Amino acid sequence: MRFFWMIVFVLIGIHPASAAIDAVNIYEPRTFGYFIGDTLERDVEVITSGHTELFTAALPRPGPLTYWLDLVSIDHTEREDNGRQIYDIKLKYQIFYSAIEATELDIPAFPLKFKNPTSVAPNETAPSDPEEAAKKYAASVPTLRLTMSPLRNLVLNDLMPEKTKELSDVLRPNVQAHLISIASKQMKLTIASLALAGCGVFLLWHYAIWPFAKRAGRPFTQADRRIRDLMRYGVADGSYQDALLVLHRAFDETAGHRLFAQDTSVFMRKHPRFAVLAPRLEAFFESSRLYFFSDDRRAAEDRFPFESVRKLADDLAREERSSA
Amino acid sequence: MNRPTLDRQSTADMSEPINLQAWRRDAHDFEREIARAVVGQERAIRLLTVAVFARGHVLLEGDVGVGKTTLLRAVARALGGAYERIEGTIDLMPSDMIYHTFLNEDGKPRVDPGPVLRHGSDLSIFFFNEINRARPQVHSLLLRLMAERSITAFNQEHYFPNLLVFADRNRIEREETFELPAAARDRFLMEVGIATPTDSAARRDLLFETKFHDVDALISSLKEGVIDYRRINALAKVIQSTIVVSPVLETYVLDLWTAIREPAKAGIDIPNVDITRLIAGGASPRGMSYLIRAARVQAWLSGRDMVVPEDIREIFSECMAHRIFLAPVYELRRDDIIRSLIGGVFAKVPAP
Repeated sequence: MRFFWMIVFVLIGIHPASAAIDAVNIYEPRTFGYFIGDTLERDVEVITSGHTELFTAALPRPGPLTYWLDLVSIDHTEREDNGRQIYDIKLKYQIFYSAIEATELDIPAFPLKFKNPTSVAPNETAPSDPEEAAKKYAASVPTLRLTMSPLRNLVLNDLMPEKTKELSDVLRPNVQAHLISIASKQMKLTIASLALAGCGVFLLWHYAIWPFAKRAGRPFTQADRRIRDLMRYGVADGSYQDALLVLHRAFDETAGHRLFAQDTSVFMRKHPRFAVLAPRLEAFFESSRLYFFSDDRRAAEDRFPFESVRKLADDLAREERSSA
Repeated sequence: MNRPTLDRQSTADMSEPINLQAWRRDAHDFEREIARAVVGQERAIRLLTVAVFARGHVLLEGDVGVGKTTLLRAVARALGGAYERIEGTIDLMPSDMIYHTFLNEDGKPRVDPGPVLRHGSDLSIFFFNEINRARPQVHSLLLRLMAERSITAFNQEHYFPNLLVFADRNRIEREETFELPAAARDRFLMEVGIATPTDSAARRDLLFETKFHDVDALISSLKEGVIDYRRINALAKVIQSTIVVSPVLETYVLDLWTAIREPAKAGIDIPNVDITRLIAGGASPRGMSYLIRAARVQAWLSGRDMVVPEDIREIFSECMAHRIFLAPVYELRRDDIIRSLIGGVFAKVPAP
């Protein structure tokens, strides 16, 4: 419930047209029942006419006024109505007085300042009485007397008999802390994690740890696969030569150096798992030698046809896998 | 002046066709005959045989007393034909090889042909002992003799169509020696290292078998002229034109050549060697063509009518090692480095 007083300072007489400050209307809030921390608002309406204007820069600034009173905000708007200037000023105070018992306090008055306060209409003369002139040319917002009430322990049960809860249940929840933006930190964390993961992968590669650990090669298995691929293109001369080369490279890789026909016996001793294929290995090397180094390629191909090469590769691959 | 006999007519029938099979048997007989006198040097004997049939000169290198001279004398004996030897000394002059002057029994000055000219074109083996003790002037004469098989003496060109120059040098001493110039080394087909035999049976024979104690008797016990040295030139031509070198092998040899000259690109790695700066030069085209010549002979001796990579590998080190010139900083470790380099090249270059 709110009510207000309206105080009207009538600064003009019976002749309305000649006044400079026409009216200061103050709409006050209630003057009692205030506790520490309460706010109250006062609305002031100033009406001027003629050349007189309210000097808004001289209005009080928000901030502490006394040790117990803060002016929280002051807003003013200006409008024109029927040739008059109307200023609406909204003052908001907050009280920080901790009353022990009911006490009366005064919100101090402050003057309003005007531009050209003394200008008068041409058909009028300035009042000769100084007191009347003062009324006519000056105005202020008066003191407001408030009655402060002390805070008392409230007995909830009395106020809310049906409530049997703890005090904390009926209190308003704590103010929620506002969230600090962590987007940039999340971004940094993501970048750092990626960098760490990259370094980890690099170290694994550098030390040849799984999955970069070199598995023992399977040259014959790969050669077998490639020779099968070659067979798909038919047994043309070029692919037969490729097949021989593929198998030779597999032998080279298994032996760790270039393997010639002469070296087959040494190769067998080093890799006894291929010993069962010895006669065919020798035949392969013999015919490959004939193929590559004599001018009788046809004979070589007849002696050790493509199918035999494939079978030999297949068997070598199987032996390689079975022993690994 | 006593004129040397020149251009003696060959008595052998040159029109008889060359039978490679029969000649191969003879070549193996030749090897066996030498092996009777020189034990534990089968590989050196094989290499010398290759050189004989490839018509290439050979430089023997090795320790003192391992049988270099015996081996060469045995080869000369088995090959037949005239044989001359000369000892390299610091005061040997080129003219000493061509003639010598003396007063005869009548007190008149005489000029007789020296070791090179004494046998005329019949000379089949000229053996230069301790070649690195001779002076560079002698080396240059020898260079001509080796390259062209001819010398100019007494205002006349003398030709030695069957000549093979064998030289040896011991590598222990370096005092009062003259290192062979690169050009002279390059003209040798092979540089064969002779080492003490490692086989214990051969070592036992060498020490305790009395027949090895008297070298002269040992050499004279060998059969002389197992093969007809006058026909080897023709045989060598037939071998070179008959034994097949396929395009694949050509590519392989070219790859080997590139790898020797640029080992870094071939991915060869030798411990404690900056491989990019290792090779200063060498591996000449002449050397590579000699290599192919020798490889054909090696293939023929192995009973094949085609050259295979094994033939190249068998003779590569002897044919090429002395033609590769290393950066000076690596010369002192030459033997190890060259062995690793050639081993690396054969391990890396794919064949076929």
